[in-house]
Amino acid sequence: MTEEMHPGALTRSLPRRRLLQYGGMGAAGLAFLAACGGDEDATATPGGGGTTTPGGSTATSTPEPGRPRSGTIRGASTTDLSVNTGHPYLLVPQNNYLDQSVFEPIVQYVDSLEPRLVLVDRYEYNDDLTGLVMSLKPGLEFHNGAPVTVEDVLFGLDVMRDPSAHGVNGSIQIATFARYITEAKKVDDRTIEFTFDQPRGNMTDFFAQLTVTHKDSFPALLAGTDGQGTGPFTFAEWVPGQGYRLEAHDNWHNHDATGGPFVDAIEVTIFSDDDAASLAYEAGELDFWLRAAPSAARRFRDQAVVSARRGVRYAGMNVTNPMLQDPRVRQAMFLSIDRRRFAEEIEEGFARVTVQPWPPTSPAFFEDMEAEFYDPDRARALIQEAGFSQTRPLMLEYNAARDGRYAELVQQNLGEIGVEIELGPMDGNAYLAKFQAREFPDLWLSLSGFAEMTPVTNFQQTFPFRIPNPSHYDRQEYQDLITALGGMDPLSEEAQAHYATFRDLWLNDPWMLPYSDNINIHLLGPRLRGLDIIPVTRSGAPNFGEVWLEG
Amino acid sequence: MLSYLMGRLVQAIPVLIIASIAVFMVLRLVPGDPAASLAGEEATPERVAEIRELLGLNDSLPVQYVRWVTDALQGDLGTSFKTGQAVTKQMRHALPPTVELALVAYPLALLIGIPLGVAAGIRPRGWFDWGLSGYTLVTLGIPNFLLGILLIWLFSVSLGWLPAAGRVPLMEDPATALKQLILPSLALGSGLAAGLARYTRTSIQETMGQDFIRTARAKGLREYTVVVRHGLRASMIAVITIIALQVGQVLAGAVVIEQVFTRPGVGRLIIDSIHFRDYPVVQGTLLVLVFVFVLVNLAADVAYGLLDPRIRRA
Repeated sequence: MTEEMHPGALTRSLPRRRLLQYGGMGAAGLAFLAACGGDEDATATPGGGGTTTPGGSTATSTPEPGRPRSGTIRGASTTDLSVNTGHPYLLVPQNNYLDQSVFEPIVQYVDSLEPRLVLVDRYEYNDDLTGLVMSLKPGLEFHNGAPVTVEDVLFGLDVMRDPSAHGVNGSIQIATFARYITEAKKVDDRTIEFTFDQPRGNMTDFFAQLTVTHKDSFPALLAGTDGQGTGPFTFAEWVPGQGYRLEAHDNWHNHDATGGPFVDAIEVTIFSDDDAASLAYEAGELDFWLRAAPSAARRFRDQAVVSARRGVRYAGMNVTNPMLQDPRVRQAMFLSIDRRRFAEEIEEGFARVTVQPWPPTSPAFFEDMEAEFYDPDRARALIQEAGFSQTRPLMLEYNAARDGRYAELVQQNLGEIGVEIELGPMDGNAYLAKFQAREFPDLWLSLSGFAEMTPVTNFQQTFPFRIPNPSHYDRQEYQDLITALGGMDPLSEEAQAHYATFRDLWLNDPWMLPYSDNINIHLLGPRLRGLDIIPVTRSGAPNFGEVWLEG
Repeated sequence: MLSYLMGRLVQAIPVLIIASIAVFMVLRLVPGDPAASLAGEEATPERVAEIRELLGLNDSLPVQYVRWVTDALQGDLGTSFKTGQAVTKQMRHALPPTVELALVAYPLALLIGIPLGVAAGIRPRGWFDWGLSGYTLVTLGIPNFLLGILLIWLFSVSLGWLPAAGRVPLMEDPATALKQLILPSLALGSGLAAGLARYTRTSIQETMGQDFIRTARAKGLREYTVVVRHGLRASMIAVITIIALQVGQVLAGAVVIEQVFTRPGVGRLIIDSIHFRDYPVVQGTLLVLVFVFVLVNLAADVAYGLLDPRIRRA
């Protein structure tokens, strides 16, 4: 699909052996999953770094050379596009169908932290990780035929630095990275030299998220009338609230290498809810459904693909609350969560029992954290030892439409160790406003993402981990490890020691109660082929460039 | 007749002014912030404040209201916070699916409801009347969203005869469009037909016991003429009142039915916009619906005047 990484790419200080080790883990996982292709149980058990594959589809996952382009594939989404908030620089799950297929990133993580080059043919860090040079592929064009220029790449940085000046009314998550870049120098028509404010071991996370769009057509993209990318499909039409249509791009830069795209178009219908999409899927009116609800996916278990873990679903705790200040109380609450029930009853067996946000491909992953950590007796003892008492029930606030079932189970689990919880269901928008303002006094439910990236990116930039965070957790030891990891090779032994420190803090002084991993479930109809591997970057957005319809 | 009509039009003006204030305020009274939706979970409070400023939400409510009304009077209902598109453009996309649904579902309700009501009303406690009781019990007892799901399960999932979701414009592909309209129209129309039939039955039954009906029969007129020309016409005032009121029910029902059948109409537009706190879209759409409702009631007033000259003279 994309060219192999240029020799010497990344940095010399990234040990090749480690890269191979993680790449190998992903490959081994995929091979194992492929071997389990027809086993329904295997598809029900989530994969680690890559994706689990639906029964039967792995056998024909590679299109034969010269396959003619034919057919339109029909997809479902239960959320509409969001283009005026800063796409393609903004990462929002509702734009998953556009990410990769219309707008491509500079580089891409597939199943490890080793980047694959997408829009560049040169990608080299300097020795001390304070700079990086990249060169755009020669002859690269947008869908409208305009050449992809250095200026188009740099335009993305401008938008991130001052979104309001470009009419963007969203908040671009990766903007923090743009601020790390102190200089971006055009070396020649294809080459850019970036200088960072200090050694940065995680800038590939940025370039794996940085998609390129034609700067002159950006205003039209904000208005939803045009969208110029470089991917295998063009953004042909969008009717808000109804759906959108992507059409095959004849001059896709990867056509010679892959033969794709193999379908004429992708039509996505916006469904009002999971039930409506589920009925249409069952009636055979859809070929695929990205981000299907577990309750719907369980009925089509043999067609379900589970994405790589992107983080955890968790109950956050405000550690400044006097009732929650004692780490033993929080540790007790951590041990009271029956994670197997969450995985089996709410996630319908698609999620994995774990307490860590990291997928197995992450260098911060620890095998021993892939366990229940459920010990109500020990939890009760810790509560007693800490002298826990409540002046009032702790309020658990959550988005009622998203987290209602999780909330009830958290309430029940905590109640079993004597922690009284009052449920505070909220409308999604009201919840969001309170979440952003970090105003939860006690507990709340949310989910974390971006754990498939370099771990320090998670610590520096994601809401529940960064400082300040909604838990108001800022222990010095934690701050120190974030600072240290910032300029470090993420795969080094030294970094590994910091990940171990994090693990100890996470288990002994927790500020979140993880209860399930954050995954996406995709339903792929029986005729759809070629979506077995979904890159982990851009929120697990698949690339439809090599997808085709069987029969 | 003209002065009667003018009087009704003048009465509609304060209704529209009060309605405009109500639709402007209704979503603002609910907790939440559109800037929060736009900014997303990872946004800082500073960025959310910037977005509020960009959207003009930091101005006082009276200033925002006057700005909105002034623009609306010039045909500009604002720009969607969520999509960045003009509200009028979004309504142009959303109105046809709803109008199509209403234009099929409501005539269906009239076709079923009025004859059924008349047949039951002229022979109370006859088998038609008992049949009507059974029909209303079932259709009013089952919420229309549940009826919609049952219809999809039967005709789309089990039998595979009709599509479960979607909407093709009627002018683009009439055959597919009509197939896509059958199930939602049945789900929406059957309940409305039941209500209509009950009112028609009661009204006809009352009318048929009156002196002028006895006079008509004494004149030797055929029963058909007695029922249709005298009985039904006299009963129509009550029925028209119900029809005018049911326009609101059609719109409310469409909100639910469009969700079930994934029809991208006004109902779905409003629901999605409420979730997002997309003030311009909610305000604009509700204002147009209020305007339609006022117009329909005005038309009903005119119809009263035409059917009964005593009303317009009064």
